[in-house]
Amino acid sequence: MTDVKNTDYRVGNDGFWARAWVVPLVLAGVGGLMAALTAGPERLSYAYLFALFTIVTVMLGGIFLVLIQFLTAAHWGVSTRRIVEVIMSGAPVVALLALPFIFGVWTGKVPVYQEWQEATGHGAHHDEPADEHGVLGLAGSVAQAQGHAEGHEADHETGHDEGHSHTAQETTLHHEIIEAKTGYLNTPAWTMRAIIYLLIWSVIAWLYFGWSRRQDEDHDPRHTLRMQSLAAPLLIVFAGALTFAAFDWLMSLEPSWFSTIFGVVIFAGSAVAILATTILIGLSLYKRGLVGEAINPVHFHDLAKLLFGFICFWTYVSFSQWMLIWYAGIPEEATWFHKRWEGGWMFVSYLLIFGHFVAPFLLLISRVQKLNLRWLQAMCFWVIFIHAVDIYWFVLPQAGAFRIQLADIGALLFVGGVFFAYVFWQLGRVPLIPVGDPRLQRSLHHHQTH
Amino acid sequence: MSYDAPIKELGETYLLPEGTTPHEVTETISRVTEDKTPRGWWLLFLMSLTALGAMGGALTYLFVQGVGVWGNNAPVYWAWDITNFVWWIGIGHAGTLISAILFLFRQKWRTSINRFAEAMTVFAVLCAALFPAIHTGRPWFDYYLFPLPNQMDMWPNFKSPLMWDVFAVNTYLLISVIFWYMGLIPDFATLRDRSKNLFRKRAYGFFALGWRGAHRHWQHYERAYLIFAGISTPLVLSVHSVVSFDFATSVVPGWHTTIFPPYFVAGAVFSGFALVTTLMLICRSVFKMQKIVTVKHLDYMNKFMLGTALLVGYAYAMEFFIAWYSSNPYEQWVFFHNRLGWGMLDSEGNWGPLWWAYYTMVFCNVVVPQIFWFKRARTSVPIMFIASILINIGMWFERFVIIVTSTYRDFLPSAWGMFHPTLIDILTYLGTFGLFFTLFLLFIRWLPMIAIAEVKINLPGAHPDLHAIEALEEPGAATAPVPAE
Repeated sequence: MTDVKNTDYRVGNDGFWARAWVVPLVLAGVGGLMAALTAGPERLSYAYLFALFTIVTVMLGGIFLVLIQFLTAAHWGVSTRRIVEVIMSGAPVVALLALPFIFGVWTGKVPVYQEWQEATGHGAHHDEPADEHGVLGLAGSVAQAQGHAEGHEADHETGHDEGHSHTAQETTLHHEIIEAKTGYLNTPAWTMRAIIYLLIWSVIAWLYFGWSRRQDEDHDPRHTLRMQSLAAPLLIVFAGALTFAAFDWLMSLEPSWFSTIFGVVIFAGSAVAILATTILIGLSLYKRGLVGEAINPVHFHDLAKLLFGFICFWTYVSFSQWMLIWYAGIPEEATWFHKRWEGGWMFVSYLLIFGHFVAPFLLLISRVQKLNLRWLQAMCFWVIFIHAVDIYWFVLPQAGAFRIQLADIGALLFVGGVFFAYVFWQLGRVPLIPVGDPRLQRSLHHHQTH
Repeated sequence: MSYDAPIKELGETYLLPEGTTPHEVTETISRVTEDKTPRGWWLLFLMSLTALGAMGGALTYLFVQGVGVWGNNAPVYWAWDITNFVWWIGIGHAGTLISAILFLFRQKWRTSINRFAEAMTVFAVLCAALFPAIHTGRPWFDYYLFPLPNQMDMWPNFKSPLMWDVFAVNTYLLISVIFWYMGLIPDFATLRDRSKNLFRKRAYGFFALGWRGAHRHWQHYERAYLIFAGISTPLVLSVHSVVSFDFATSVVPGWHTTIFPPYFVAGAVFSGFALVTTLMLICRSVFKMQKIVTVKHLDYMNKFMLGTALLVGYAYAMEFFIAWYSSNPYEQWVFFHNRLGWGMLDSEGNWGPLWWAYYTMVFCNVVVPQIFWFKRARTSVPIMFIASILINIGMWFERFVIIVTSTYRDFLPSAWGMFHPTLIDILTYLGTFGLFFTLFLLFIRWLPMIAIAEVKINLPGAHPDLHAIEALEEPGAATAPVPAE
């Protein structure tokens, strides 16, 4: 049986892992060149947002998985937690990667949000009468919305039964809808919020990674207690930041569109992404004998079960969003899905249904499949790919018809490459399992199979 | 050495107090069904029967007169009947969550409450199912709900979420009853073996299906349990999701929003846990079960309520934010005028008159549970008793708020109509408590209210996963992992 004292669980001189970080770094270089040389600034902006958010979701999934394990005082995941922690600790790297994008939005060089950014300019001399019941205190923006509400008879007369072509009136109404949101959707507020989200994630990640690393040295159970008690409040902060980041970065690409479940959909995708990534890295370490028996097939089975569960959860929330919008058929909501159906996107939508649900559901449902590690590895590669497609499907339809460009792949290689170069480099520096965790022994002897 | 032993430095303790013996567990639980019926039980039973009788009267009057005896009006076509339906079915969510989802997550503490919660699930779903059956006032047409060939060539509308409800609720009821019964089999055998008279022996023996506790029996039992947990898990989510579709597929502001399915599920689990807590606290102290349902169990349940309260609070916040963000004036009207009661005044300059329902809901569902951040509150019986009751009041108001405040002042001021419940509404609702508690009291009197066999695996020193280790180490075993090279 395994004993922690006999091995230090480090990458050491392993032929692959000692220098693994070089591979993503090279890919990042190639991808960066590919993206920079083949696309104009507009397409590059969309491609970069897609790549950035794909990696953001992996990192967010990491924060969630670490926090939830401390919240529930789980022991099963202790020995795989270090991999998740290292991925999570890449939050500042993500922040660095996000900075050019945020700066671009701030200066107007990145045109993905121009629809509401332009409305901000007009918002200043909005001719709606000032509202006399402005008691909501949201800096005038709600007052503006109320102005709309009270003028709703006007909307009602003009907004309906006009056929499909966009009349001048409709265009005006569309602008008014977006102008009413400029209290939230305006460049300074957006930029400020983006920085706050990144700060929140970076601080949580570095606190938890730091404490866990310190516990490696001093084996002090008080670190665990502190991380347990902070997990609940931090999860609330995390959930808020994730939701509004999803609203700001993805939902506002189509500023007239809205969906209350949007944050939950993004969260579900993040959980799927981190579980598949953790299994893949874990499998590689396991196969190369770097973690001994500390991570055993039962741990992979547990992670795979959670992965299966979150794939179902992703399907559940994505279906809820689509079904309710489709069923009600309200034009202002349906337009978002319409964009993901026309212009060649129908194929991608179907690919998500089959690739993100039907296939993994059937191919991961059985215990035999999940315990076949080679099978599991192939499935995790697929799941990560399809997760990227999912984010692609959120972002790129806003840029027009479906056409994969080298810039999309290049941007993903660049952002993903830099991020995973950090992750792999960090894995080479730290013990691969949290050797100081008081629940480690229990996790090492974790053999329950259901 | 057992690696499951509590780690003292982390403040871990055994779930059940040390020194508790398996015999003590069997005694404590079985005794309730064997001792002489307490007088208090008869008193409560008669009260429940009275309430049930009152419902009988209210329903008879309804069937004779039609739905006009309720307060439903135009535009509040759906009022207390569907509020009560959704409320009861929500309560029916804790049982299956505890027995299925918490089982899959290996939450061993569930064993002290699962039986109890499953029984409540079944009874609550029955109370809920009553409302679709009576809501037209013409129960003799209920067979329309099912896709049965009939003489009028009438066929249910499969495009209607109300139709899906019929299937979702019936499936849930069926699976919950089977799951509940299956878990009872080993305990029926225990009661059979303890029986002192022939009638009891025969009756419990009949339901025990010849259970002898053989190795093979347990193996089949465990496997069936796992399969049922797998089947029930999606059902926990599907039922209340389909219920939420009743509203969310419409285009009514306040009903049509995409977060409804998970939001309803979270609310259902929340209210289910609250009612389980309320009733468990009473039974625990009446039948002296403090050693089996420990403060630690209650602590976990309260944490669960806090967690689900936060999820529900998240949904409330999202609805409000998106109502504003949508810049849809009708959406904003429902949230700011009809619910919040301020920010948007009607043409006479008045607040929405049902604002108090919204504040009751937020207070009970979001503010009250915050007390469970404190360990002292989570381990204090009086506090959690009061909080759990307030939560259920809040959850009733949540459904009332969704249903009535979305409709009573809608698009056209000329079509507005205030809703007032009638005496028949109130009697029918009270009557469902009669139905619920009649069944519940029969349950605690005749069936083991805690899963005797399952609790024992949590006794200090029990090694439930010993055979799993052996199975893994045995070459060629079915569950053995593929060795990695």
